[in-house]
Amino acid sequence: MTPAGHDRADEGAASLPYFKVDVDESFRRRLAQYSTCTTRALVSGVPAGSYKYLYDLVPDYPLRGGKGLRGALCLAMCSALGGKEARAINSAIAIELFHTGFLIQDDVQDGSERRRGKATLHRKYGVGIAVNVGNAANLLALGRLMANHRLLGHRLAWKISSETERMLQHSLEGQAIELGWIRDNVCSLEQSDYLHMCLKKTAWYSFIYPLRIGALLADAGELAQEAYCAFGWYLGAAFQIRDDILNLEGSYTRYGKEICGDLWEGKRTLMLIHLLNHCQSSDRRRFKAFLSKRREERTAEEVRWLHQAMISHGSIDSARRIARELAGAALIEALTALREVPESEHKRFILDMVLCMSYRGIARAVRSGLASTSALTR
Amino acid sequence: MATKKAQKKATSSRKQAKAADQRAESIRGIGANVSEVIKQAALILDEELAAGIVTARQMQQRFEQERRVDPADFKDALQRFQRDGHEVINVLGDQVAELRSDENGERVKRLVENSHDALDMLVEFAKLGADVVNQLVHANLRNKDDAGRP
Repeated sequence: MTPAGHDRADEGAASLPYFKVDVDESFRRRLAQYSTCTTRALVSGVPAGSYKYLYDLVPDYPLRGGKGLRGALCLAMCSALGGKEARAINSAIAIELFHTGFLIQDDVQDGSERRRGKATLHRKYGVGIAVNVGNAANLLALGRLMANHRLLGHRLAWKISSETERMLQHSLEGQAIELGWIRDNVCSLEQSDYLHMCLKKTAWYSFIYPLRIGALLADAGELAQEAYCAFGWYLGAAFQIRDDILNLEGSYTRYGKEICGDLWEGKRTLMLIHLLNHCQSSDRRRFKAFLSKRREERTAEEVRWLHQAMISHGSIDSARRIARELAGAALIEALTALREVPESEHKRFILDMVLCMSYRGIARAVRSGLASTSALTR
Repeated sequence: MATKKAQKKATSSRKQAKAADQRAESIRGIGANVSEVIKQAALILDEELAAGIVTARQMQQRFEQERRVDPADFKDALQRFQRDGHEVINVLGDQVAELRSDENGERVKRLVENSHDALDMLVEFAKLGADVVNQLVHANLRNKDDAGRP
């Protein structure tokens, strides 16, 4: 499983009784605004010249048409709660930089080939350079958090740093869980194991953290320990499961990564866990043998066979059902959490994001919404 | 002791399960029955949050400790004060020098030098003071921890 944040297939529109406006259109416009603002500041803040193969490669992934969802969520939350966007910009950039660092290092750890339609950084420049660039992204993120001290004062900046420490801890622990499963060829996993890993590895940094940082910035540092966690968690889980489904069902042009890459990598997705728990013992032994191999030892035929088994055992349908339930839960949590928040385009953006997850694929909205961000590369 | 621990753990698990049920209850609007996966997800979040509270408390403690005398801030402020102080002394010294006669010239020069030394010494004392305060804070926290132990 890779961190959340990849295009996914549209899944058929449904009527949206809560909103009369076109969700995609509204969401797309706002996302483009947030994302352009964050990406532009991110790129302009990268040190120029001096060191080749370091800072110059940090904007590589963001400029490949990254959605900027996480930074956008932070800015939207801050603005929705009455905070000033200018005060949130450092944090939004830091979030995107951490995300970039995670992606680069995640690609190395998983041996991934493609990212956002191009070769992964380590495929292009080698593992050494990729790891170093990932560290540089984290360094630049740290710089943004330090800059918060001047902009926001020590108390609030400290709280944001503490939230960041908490987020990094969850992310690294989640990553360790997943890497450990693959390394030890763990096959006796339950749905709850997957959810636990997903909460820590993906949902926290992609959704809970940006929401909480945005809220902290708006409320000048006063935030309950649990605030927005449930909302971010259900949304993150739904997002990740759908992303994993798309990895099996999407087309390369839409997804930007190799299709069935998770099977090649032996990722313990919800579908794989379902399959291992619902297949016959003889098949289970074969799956286990396949998963014990290194990536380069696996064949396309084996990957196809595993894929077919997931379809025939209803593993993908089961995951889709779960994702839908989680998205529904996220919607209820979002509406509850934001009930007292005055209506605004920022609040609408947050709710639109959940609605996009609940009722439609996010891909179409995101793809067209990022046209302006991609223009930065030209 | 072991029984007490086990009881405490069981109580904590019950509390977490109850909290998860409440959380699941809050999203009952999704359907007639909240699915197992949502209950499971709610429980997992509650467990993580409960574990996080310990970490958060430690962070808070650190924050409060370091907020009393933030060494970096304090050092910055002192350096600014020192730099500005020296500039003031120099300006005063120059102004006094304009008025000086030959006989008190040496005295003015000595006065300015002494003022610089005095200011540096004051700053050093202040730095020492910050260290002392920090040590007192830590000692106080240690005493509190010791007192809290059975």
